[in-house]
Amino acid sequence: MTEIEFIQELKLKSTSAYSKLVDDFQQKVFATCISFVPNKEDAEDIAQEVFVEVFNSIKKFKGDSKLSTWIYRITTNKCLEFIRKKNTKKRFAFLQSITGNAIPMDKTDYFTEMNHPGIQLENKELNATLFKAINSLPESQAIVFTLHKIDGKSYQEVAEITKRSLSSVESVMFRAKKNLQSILGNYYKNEN
Amino acid sequence: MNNNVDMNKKVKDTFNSIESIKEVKISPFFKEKVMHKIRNTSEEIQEATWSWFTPKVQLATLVCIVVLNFMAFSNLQKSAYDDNVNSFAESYDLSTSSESTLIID
Repeated sequence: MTEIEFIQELKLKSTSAYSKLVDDFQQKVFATCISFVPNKEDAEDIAQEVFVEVFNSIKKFKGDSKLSTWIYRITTNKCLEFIRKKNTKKRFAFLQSITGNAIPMDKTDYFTEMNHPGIQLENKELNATLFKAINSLPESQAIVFTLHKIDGKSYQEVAEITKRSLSSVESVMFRAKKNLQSILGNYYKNEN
Repeated sequence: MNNNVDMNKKVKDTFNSIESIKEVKISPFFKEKVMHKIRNTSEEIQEATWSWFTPKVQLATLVCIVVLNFMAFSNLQKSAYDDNVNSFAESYDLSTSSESTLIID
């Protein structure tokens, strides 16, 4: 079955086509989700939402890009939506704690509880610091850095997902690394 | 000086810690959950399509159909009766049509 035929089946809401789609993409979509949101439960919930969104929006897919690129784009958007929502909640909780209507706040100012089974115990602290540093990058830099460095996608794939040129991705990546170095530098300076 | 070297090492180590992150396998029940959600969404869409057809509208539609059927049936019966009477009158020359009046004139 060609990709066009497969997309046609998806548009007809065929259960077997969706079953194949989930088989083919569940691990990849989940890997992207857990790269953005380092919490297994949250990442699985977002991955589920991605497939439901594919089901609901497949009619809008015009075939301008590969199906996989379109799915990764939805995945990235869903993750960003989740992070934005959680960050807003954190800020709101912080404001409430200032005004006295204290809601118990988490120990960290990170948007989720770190629960990434792929992180080794000896690197837990370093990885947690890195994820927090990524969260304080401008969104465009955080996307490119996460997709390339953590999810392991190539520059070409990142360019297709983010609808940027290859040179633009390279330059955003360069700025992201530089900013991360300065964020981490400041963090360790304050720690000492 | 030593502090700077130490800090740079920490930054470098933090960057390098990315390489140590292992792939996480998705839970075995993930597919089942997704397919269940998709099926539910599909049912919701179908329900939403007919959501405007509330019991009140259903009753009104039923009443309309019954009234229309009744009117159509009584109309049909009336015209059939008139047709029968006309054909009977014509066959026994009992009809008084305007045509015959003209002939007499």
